[in-house]
Amino acid sequence: MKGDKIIIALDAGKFAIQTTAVAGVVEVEKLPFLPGRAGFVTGIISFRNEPVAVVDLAMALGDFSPAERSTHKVIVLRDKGRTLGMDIGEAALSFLWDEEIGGKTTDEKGLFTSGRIYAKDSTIEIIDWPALFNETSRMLTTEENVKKSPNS
Amino acid sequence: MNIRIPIGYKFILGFIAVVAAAAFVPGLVEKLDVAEWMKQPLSFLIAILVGLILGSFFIRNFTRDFNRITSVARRISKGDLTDAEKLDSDSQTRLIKDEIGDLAQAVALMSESLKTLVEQIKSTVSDLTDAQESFSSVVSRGHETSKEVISGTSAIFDGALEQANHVGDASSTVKAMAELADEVAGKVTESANASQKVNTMVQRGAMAATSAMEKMETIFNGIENTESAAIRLKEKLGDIPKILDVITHISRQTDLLALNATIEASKAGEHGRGFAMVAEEVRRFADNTNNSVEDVSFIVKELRVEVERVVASASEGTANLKGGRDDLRKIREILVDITNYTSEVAEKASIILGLTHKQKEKAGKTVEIIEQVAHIAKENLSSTERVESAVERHGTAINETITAAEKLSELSKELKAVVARFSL
Repeated sequence: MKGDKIIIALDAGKFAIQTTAVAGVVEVEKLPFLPGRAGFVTGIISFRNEPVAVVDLAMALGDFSPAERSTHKVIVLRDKGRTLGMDIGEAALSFLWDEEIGGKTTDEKGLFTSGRIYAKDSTIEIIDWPALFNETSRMLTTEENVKKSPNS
Repeated sequence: MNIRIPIGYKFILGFIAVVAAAAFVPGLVEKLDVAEWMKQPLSFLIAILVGLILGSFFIRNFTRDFNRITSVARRISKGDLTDAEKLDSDSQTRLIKDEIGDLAQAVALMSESLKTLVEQIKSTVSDLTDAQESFSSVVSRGHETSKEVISGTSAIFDGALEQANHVGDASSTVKAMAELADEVAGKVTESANASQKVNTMVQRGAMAATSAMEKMETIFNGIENTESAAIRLKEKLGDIPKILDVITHISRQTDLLALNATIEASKAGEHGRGFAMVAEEVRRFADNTNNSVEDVSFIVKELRVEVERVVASASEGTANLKGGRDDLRKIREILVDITNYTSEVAEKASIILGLTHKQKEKAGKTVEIIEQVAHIAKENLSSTERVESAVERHGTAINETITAAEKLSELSKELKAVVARFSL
């Protein structure tokens, strides 16, 4: 759990993700429709001429309350050639440098969270981005299989 | 030819005759042929007889006249004056006169005088009765007249009193009118001064209003210019959001670039810390820009609302300009009329002031005259009181005169009755 982190301030709380997993942050006004999308997969964007599937982070973390958003801030994750966009809406972003992380960091796991940072003034959940990758891949793969073999 | 022998002499002659008879009787008796012892008593008896005869003659002579006089006097005393003349005629016919004859003449003369007096008294009583009746009639008429005079005087007194009261009331009223005229004069003076001041103030006000209207005309022009300026400002303000959108877009892109730069610097580890710090500063700058843009956007929104209000107000003001100009023109005309009327009012107030002063002088003179009249009325009242008192005294005197006339009438009647007792 070492390394600098980007802190995402959602309505449900603060969440952290390692900067090493982040390829970049873009902002789009509308998310183009992704055919076969399901669950918290909300659309697709183009990041450096590469299509990136986008998931709604709040929805992925269990907040299904509808929210009107004029802009969509998308954090693009890259892992071993795979990319995934996390739509955080208009949530504010900040940095938490590694040397600034005080307090206690635990391995308490949750839905798509792999640990917890007990900072001085708040508690920050660490996003389990590989699990998010896997679940997204699973959902997209399952949908594709369903479309390919409608009788199965 | 009458011989006058006083009564004393007659008495002496009688005494002498008695004495002579007494002296001659004894000699005569001596010559008679009677007894001696009878001569002395006979002489005595003859002497007494002669004396009685002579005495009786004299007494009868004396008493006869006295009785007649006494009888006449008694009849006179009873008012019978008819026999008195006989006493005088008898005394005139006597040969020998004495005091009795004088007494009879005196009684006859007294009776004659009394008769004349009674006749005069009768005549006087008759005249007195007529005069008393006339007097009573006159007094009665005087009494009636006195009553009428008293009634008239009382009416005059009442009239004089009422007149004095009326004059007093008139005096009070005229004094009040004079005081009122004085007060009116004071008020009219104040009014004239006030109207003069009003005239001056209206002149100043007219000048100020004219100046204000010229300035209002300038303001109207300014309002029209303001409307066009506000419309232009509104148009310019409509461009500001577009610029702000551009700035917002740039600042967001800058924020993202700085964010990505920070991420990349983070990946560089310790070597990228300085760059990360710079990128972070750029983010903060972008955030500040964003915040400022939001502030400016908010201000611009408020400004647009205000400008729209200004435009609406200016449009409304411009729409009202025509009416305002018409009103200004009317106000200018009304001001001219007010100025003219105020000047006229001031002139008339001056005229009224002069007339009021004259009225005040006349009222003062009227008060003096009324006071003189009141004084005369008081004197008349006092004189009437005196006249009434005199008339009342006159009435009392008339009453006393009536009483006296009645007494006089009674006395006249009594006198008439007394005189009627006399037979002439």
